[in-house]
Amino acid sequence: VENYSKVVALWERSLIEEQLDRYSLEQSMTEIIVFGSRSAGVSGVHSDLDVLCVGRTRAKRKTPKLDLICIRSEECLSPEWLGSELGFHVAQYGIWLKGEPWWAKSAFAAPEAVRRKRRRIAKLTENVVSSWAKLHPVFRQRFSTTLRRELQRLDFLLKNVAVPPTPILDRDWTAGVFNCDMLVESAQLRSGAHKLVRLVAMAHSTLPSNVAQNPALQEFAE
Amino acid sequence: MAKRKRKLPKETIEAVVDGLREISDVFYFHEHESGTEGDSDDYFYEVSYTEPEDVEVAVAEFASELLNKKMITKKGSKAPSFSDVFEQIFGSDHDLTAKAQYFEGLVSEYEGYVSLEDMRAAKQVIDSMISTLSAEVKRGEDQSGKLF
Repeated sequence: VENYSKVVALWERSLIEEQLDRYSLEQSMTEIIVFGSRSAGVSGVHSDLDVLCVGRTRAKRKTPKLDLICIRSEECLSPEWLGSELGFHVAQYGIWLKGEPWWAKSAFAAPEAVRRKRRRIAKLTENVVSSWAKLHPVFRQRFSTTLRRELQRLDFLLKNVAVPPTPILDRDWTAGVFNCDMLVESAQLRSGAHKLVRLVAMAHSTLPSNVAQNPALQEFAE
Repeated sequence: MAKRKRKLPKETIEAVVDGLREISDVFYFHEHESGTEGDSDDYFYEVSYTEPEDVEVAVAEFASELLNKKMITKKGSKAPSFSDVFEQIFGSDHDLTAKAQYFEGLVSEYEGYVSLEDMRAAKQVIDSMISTLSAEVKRGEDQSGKLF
């Protein structure tokens, strides 16, 4: 209940700050759901507010403080939505500010969600490795973290478990809950796997210190 | 109240324009026929286009270049976002910063996917930023070398 009140207050503040028309938004939406770190009560000072609106239109709006995604009501019943990473996450961690979680029990991790995650990991790995020499150390650090989180998310999807908010992924990683080699194995990369192993292994062994300064990663700068 | 105009070195603007051109070059949209041979009703056009990870890394290269040239700084210990770059150089109330924020929203992937419509719009935003800055460079060529 305490978290619900906080989330409502944050949503109301966002409507004002982002100059959104509350009346027309609430009239056109059958469901308004807050998800992510705010709904799970694990947000940090810089966390944004993730909101899913279900109604008549499809739209998205991303600002430093608000990540708003709008989907159409009929999409909620589609296998694509119910089997998606986001749909499954919202079903598990969402707080409904308007409407009822009528579709939430049908959500799951579909093979398509796994395929998409594998594609993203493979593509990002390929791009990061080929651009490594041009990237400033802060970006090397950022992409190492992004890849590690995406591998963790893939692990959840493969187990048909909803992906938790990012602060929970980071906490579990630091606590050693995840096995680095197994995560990399599950990505089933066709190419660049070796370099990915190195990147992620470095991120694992050096956390929370600076991955980019690790001499073992100089290979990518050559 | 009128916006305060900043005076920026021409080299900074040129570095930003060059970087934006490299981001623009990452975008592609290839239309190709798809469908079953022999049945004309099944033919349709598909568009293969830039993947969000291509843009993600191109933007990181752009900001890295400016960081390495010390034209911008890190955001604490973190990497600056695309809009942070413009906020640092031009100010938070500048049109280019607003365009950069809009661009970030367009290319932010969800389920590893950005729609064709959003990707096309993102390319247009980058190209309009290049046009604005190129015009400023041209206008400033006859002046003291300080722009904006």
